[in-house]
Amino acid sequence: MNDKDLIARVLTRDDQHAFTMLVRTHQHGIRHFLRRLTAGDHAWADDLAQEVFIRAYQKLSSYRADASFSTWLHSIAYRYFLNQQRKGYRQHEVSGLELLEQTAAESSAEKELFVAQLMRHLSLPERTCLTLSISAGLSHQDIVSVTELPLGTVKSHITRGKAKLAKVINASATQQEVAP
Amino acid sequence: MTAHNSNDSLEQLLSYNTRLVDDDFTHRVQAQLARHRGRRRRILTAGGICSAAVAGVLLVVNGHKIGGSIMQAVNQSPYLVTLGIVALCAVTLWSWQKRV
Repeated sequence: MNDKDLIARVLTRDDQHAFTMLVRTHQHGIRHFLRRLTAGDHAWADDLAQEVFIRAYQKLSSYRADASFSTWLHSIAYRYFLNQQRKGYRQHEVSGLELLEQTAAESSAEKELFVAQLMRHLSLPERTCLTLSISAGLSHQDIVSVTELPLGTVKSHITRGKAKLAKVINASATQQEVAP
Repeated sequence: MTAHNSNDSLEQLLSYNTRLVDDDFTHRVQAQLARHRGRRRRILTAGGICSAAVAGVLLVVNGHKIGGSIMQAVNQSPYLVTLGIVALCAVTLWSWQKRV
């Protein structure tokens, strides 16, 4: 059953099982996206993701199928994250040790740790656009609808973000080469 | 390293490697949703009971006057009253349809 069928079931029959299926299908992308936005604060990211799904349920009748359900969820996630950040609910810098603890159970822990650290070198719009483009695989047009930024700005955030990351990665590679 | 290669490796690095799907998260969303629906149901019920109570009190205290003024309004402009009732029903139905 695809997203549209599941959404129709939730709207017409208030089918909780169908909504659970939607949560199962999309939690991977939304939780990862929020982990990137929070620069590795997994607990906060999961709390936000939970609320994103509740909001999606509440607003499901306003979902228009002109964008994919995933894009729609990402836009809810992004707006909710901005809102919470503006309210200053949690502005806690995750330490390297915390990151290590969070990712230790995961198979690619080292990589996750490195990526979370990399995200801190980017501004929030760069982090958002780059994650949506490269990690979530959204088109530029979809990123525009999620972030409500002009297309040119989205493209320049992606380009600038990539350049910054390449610079950081090169610098860390050089450091590793120099170190005995 | 060429620009193309560096782009590829960046994409590989930033891709979501670990599969983030666990039942615990799903259950937490379900539980929060159930709490939310319960709260809404309680609010709606309380609102309904309050409205019924207020209407009941008004009817008991001032029943003749209220009945009289309603009949007067119906006699004076029956279409307007019908339209009002239809609009009220439509709004109620619409808000119920919104569910949450």
